[in-house]
Amino acid sequence: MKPTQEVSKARISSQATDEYDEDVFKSQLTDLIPHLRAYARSLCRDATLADDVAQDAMLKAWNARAKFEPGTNMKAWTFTILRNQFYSIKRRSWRATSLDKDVAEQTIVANTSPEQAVHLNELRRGLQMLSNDQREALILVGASGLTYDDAAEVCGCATGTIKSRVSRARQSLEIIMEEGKFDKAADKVSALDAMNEILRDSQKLTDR
Amino acid sequence: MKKIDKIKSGSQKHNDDHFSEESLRDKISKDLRTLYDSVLEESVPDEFLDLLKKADKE
Repeated sequence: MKPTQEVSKARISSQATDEYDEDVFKSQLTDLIPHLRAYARSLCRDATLADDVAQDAMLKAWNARAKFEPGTNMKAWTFTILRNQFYSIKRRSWRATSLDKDVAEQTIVANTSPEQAVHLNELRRGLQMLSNDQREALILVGASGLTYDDAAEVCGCATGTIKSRVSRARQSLEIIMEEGKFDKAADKVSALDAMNEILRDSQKLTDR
Repeated sequence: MKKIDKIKSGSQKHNDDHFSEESLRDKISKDLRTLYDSVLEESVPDEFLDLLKKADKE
């Protein structure tokens, strides 16, 4: 008879904990919303689409709350959900192209001097030149404050892989920023524009 | 929060003067966090809390 008593006792206390946990979970999830938005913004640079992804992830996390193990890192857990959400939208959606659309320049960072705004835009462009894997690892570890282990869990790879991605991302960014590769890229674009203009002009001349 | 306060209270011009003395690596690390934190500091659109409230009632 003892085991049954224990079971029923356990059931009562687990019911009470469920009620309590749900409130705790909700408030922790609410606290994480800014992080979900920031991480989503780093994945898809269009702020409106990023918020859509963050909202979807928030609701998915809420619906999966029973699966969350208290005591584990909830930020990493919600980031995993968000990341899966992002990639599944990207895979199947007509919005795939808009998810990749480069609208970085439209985001203005508040409380920055014009000089710092230039630095930040350079960094944004530099980040876009990295591979998705490297950029993601660097942002998770270097900006969102996840540990290497947690970032590895989010990306579904080994901790060592994250470490080497972060380190390669840092190296690449340093080279990009130092050499101002994006300036050269911009020069190429303007050279191409100039070339097109010359071609158009010569076309006009032959049309005459 | 302390970190954010420090960024806000420090004179930006003063910081820029010291940029050249920082290593590129430190500068990149700091800018990365500034970019991320700038989204954290935005106020959360009401939609998020409304959605969560609705989901909670279901």
